[in-house]
Amino acid sequence: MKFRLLKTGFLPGAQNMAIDEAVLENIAKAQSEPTLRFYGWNPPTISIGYFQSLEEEVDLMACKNLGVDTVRRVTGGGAVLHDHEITYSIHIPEALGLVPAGILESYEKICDGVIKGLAVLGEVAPTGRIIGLASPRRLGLEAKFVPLNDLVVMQNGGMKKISGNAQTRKQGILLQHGTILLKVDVDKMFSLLKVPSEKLKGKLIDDVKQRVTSVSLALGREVAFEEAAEALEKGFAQAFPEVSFEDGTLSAEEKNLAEKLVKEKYGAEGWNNAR
Amino acid sequence: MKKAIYKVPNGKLLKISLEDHDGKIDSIKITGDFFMYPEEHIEKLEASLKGCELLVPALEARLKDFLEKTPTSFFGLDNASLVSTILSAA
Repeated sequence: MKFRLLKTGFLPGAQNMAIDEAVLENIAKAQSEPTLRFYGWNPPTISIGYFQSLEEEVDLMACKNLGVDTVRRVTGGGAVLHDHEITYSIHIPEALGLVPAGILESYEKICDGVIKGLAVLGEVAPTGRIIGLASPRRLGLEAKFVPLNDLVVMQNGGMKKISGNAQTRKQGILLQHGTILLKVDVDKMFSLLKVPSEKLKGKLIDDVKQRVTSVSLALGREVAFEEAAEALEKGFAQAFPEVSFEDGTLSAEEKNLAEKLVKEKYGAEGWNNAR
Repeated sequence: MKKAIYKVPNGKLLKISLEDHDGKIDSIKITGDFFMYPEEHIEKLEASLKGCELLVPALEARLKDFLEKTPTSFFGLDNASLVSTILSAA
């Protein structure tokens, strides 16, 4: 079974979300193949979940001052600062039977691709050369799935979040996108997000610092986007052995639809401020 | 606008904003980082709660009726949390 592998580089939030939707629409019409996509965000962007209120969650003035973009996702879940990270999205027609029907079980199955990718990352030498399996130096980044939709790694004796994931199903297509933190800046995150209580903000920041990590922190070395993409590609190939992931590009129809969705939806106030 | 925030046990953060009048819901907004499928049902759910008495049995019945007529699944959210958070906002 063939999946298209897309690498769309670093794009603004509205474009990124528009591409995910345009791809879904085209797969639903059987005009595109099931797709695994890796992407980054430029400028850095806060995405909010479908059910969140932009003005309640995000300090829009602070975002403006720091050049951070905002966009509302088609998926539920929480607000995410997409800065030093890699995002994947995978579009799987439910009829293919590749993932369980249950929501939690399907999260777990897809997140297994990320887990296997993070394990591969641990096996890659800083030069990018894969250390052979016989090598005694297998670092391995051991992540595990924690319901409902997070991945954690063990660090300093505690479980720390390294990835968040969100899923929707539309027109028979399962779309899951998720982010893997390559670096984390909790202070920056909180300078952009609104918290329920200013009084408790300091404590909240300390809590999150205890509970969140990044690939670079967990591995003890910097990991670039390209290296992470390569590792995740291998991880998804291991998690879905029946699928062959082949490099592809966006079709003209997808590009046109994405452009329209940027104008009419993800780049428009009506959508972003709907809740 | 009256508000309440609740962390659903083993679930997500639920935020309720509502206006009420004579013990009934005038308008309600349900936000948070939960999941609901299909997502587009959120506005229908909010509309279905309009006019509902702010009492446990009335809210439970209204919610049950909505979910029967408009099949919707929650993830990181449950009926009991929704009812209790609406009441704590009121």
